[in-house]
Amino acid sequence: MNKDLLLLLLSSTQPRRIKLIQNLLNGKRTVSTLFWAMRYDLLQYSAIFKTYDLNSINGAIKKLIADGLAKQVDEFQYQLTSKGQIKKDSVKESFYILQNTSYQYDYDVNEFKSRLLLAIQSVSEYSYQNKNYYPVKTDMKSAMIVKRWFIQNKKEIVNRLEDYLTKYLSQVDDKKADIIAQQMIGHDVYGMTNSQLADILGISNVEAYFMEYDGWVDFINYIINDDDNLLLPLINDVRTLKMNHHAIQTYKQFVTGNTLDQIAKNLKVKISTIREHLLEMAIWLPENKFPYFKIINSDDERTLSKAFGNQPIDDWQYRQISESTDINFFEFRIYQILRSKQDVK
Amino acid sequence: MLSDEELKKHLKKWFGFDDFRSGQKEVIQLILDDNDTLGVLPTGTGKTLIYQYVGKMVDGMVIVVSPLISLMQDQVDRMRYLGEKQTVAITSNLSWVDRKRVIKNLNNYKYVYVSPEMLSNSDVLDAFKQYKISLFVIDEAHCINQWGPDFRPEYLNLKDIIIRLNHPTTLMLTATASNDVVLDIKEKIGLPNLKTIKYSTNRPNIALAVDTFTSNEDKNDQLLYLVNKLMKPGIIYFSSKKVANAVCEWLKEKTNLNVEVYHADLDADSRYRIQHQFISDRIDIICATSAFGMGIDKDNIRFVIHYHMPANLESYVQEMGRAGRDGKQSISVILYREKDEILQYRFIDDTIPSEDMINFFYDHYQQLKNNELDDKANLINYYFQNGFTKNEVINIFEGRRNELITSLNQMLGYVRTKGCKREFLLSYFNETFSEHDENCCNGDATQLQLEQMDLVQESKSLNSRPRNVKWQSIIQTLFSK
Repeated sequence: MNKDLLLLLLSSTQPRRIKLIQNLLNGKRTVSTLFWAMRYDLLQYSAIFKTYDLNSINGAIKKLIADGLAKQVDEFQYQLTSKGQIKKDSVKESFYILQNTSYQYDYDVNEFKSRLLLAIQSVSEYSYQNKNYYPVKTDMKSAMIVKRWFIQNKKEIVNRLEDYLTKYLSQVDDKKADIIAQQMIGHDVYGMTNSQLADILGISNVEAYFMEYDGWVDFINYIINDDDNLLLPLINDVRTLKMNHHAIQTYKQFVTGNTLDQIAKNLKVKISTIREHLLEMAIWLPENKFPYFKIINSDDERTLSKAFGNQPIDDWQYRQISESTDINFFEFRIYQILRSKQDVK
Repeated sequence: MLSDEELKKHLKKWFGFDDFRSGQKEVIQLILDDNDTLGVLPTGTGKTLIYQYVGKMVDGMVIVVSPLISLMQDQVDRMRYLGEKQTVAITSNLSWVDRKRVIKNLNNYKYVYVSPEMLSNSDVLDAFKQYKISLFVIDEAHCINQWGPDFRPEYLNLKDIIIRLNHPTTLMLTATASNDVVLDIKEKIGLPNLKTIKYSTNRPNIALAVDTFTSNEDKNDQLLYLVNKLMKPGIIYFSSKKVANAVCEWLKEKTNLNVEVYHADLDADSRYRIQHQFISDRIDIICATSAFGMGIDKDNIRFVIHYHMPANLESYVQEMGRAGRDGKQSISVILYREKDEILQYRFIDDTIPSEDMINFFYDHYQQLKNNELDDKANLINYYFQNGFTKNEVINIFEGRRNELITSLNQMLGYVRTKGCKREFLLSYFNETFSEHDENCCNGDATQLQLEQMDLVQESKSLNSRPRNVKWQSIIQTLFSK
């Protein structure tokens, strides 16, 4: 992993688990991963490296420690030194980190990119009347989507696609437009790899990946909102909700007044699963969208508030109250999420 | 039987060539006469053309068993590129849904590439049984040979599979098989009337060189000298991805050539681009591990340099054989630093399960069976599942280790020989050679003269890759009006 990036993901005031950060970036979505990602204020980076090989995070942390920028707090957690914090402030100024983050959607940038490149390539080769070429690698589903798209739009396709791409690229910043165009593949055009792009821009591979990623997300959103539907079939399933759809189902039943037991019965799942769903929804949603007080009543709130007072939220332990109250772990965690959201405000 | 003239007429019509390369015609004739055939043909012969040609002559499906899953998709892409759109690969890389879909629609395909593991799956085999199979091809047939360098236990199942498919005409192809290996293949595949066509392994247009050094610095100096001087494009092979990356970066710094790495760590997107930039002469030099080049068809590669010596002569012949497919003068150089073989000894230890491991596996099978197994454990598991006892397996791997060490020693013998390199190499494949001359190899008696051999390139780079192209001009090149 790029050590500047790791520096940006660590903190000088909060010990952080690097394994958890890695899981988060790779797209792991357990409640525990999501909860701590929220605590680290890194939730928006969930799954951004689903298809990008990060290399070892251990190697990167070793380098940071060797440079005196980070220290190990316990077996799993690391924290920046004050020297590390100064370095982080300066890296922040120059390092390109992903801009298009979202709490709402996952973008399957890889899938979109391979579909769009295949579409451009097939039209480009068609315009040169060449049938023998090596198509861009995609899975079968994407290949089929593009094939169907091509057949349906064959008439005038060359002009239409060229116009579409020109129209889109002329309304984004020139530098960004160049990056997107440099990815394109077509007749005798093979574009640039991630590291070739990084070389030319004089940046790290991961920054080049972020720039490209931002470019594709912009493009996806443009296609969704544009009046011309030419490329709309290509983004099928490319943008999906971050929240698990089972969790959304649970949430919907919960806000309409069902108890946890009723929901468990309706959906034929265990009550512990229902709790997990609600925790996940509470983490993803803004404070005002989640009915916290349907889970914790005012007595519970008073008890919890008194028990934890001004203690830092990261340090709260359920066992501090498990003996003395009848508040369960689920309620405790929900309150912890609520307080986290209030803290951020 | 078709006459030579008719065969050539089809060759011209389908492939645009005037004449066959050595061995192609003989093998095609044997297959068309329904003979099971083993073709030992040198690298660069165009083995794909053989089964593609036969496929065009006969009804029914051509199955191609191929060992390397990562390269199978490359082969499929190549077949499609050559116009055979009804080609598909069934491998573990396919998603479950895609695999189901392909198997259900098997009759849509003429050429089906499949891994031996997949064919051992009864669903897949049953699906094939529904169709007429006119040719069953075993690519890289030396993998059947238990003591061959690329031994794959799954290849041993092929004997049964051929029987269960009602014995379609079978074609086995390899570039590297000594007489012993040929005998072993024949025994293991169990086809009594197998005909063998064996052509010389020699590639006369590839000069052979080995340069020996005592330090890495000297080796790097020579590498730098060679890549600047030699005609491009070329490939540099490494045994380690890490070293490939480092040397690539170093060459980028020290030269103004377009140099790129290519190995298993690259994502599919980069792999595609680099392959095609290389094929279209936009890259001068590829720093690769052995994965590169098997699927690509590029005939103007002028040099293959081995930064690390290969593990055996078979691999060496395969890798250096990527040079000079156009028949023009080319060169293979091994850069050997004394004790380089230590790396290869380490690879042997990394791939062969030790006695301790085998003992542990057999004693703890119940606990291990639900875990994800690594490569070595998978290998032990194969024998376990096939009913081998612990001691048998220990003996098998002991034998295998010795065999790998013997192969490595033969490779070292080639590197160190003071005599004619080509004679040494060919004698390993049971051939004699006595036409050594000044363009043959560098040894004690002769030194290759690159200038006189037309292997020197004055200009710097093939085709400088345009940097900083504006998006408007990219869009303009993409679409022809």
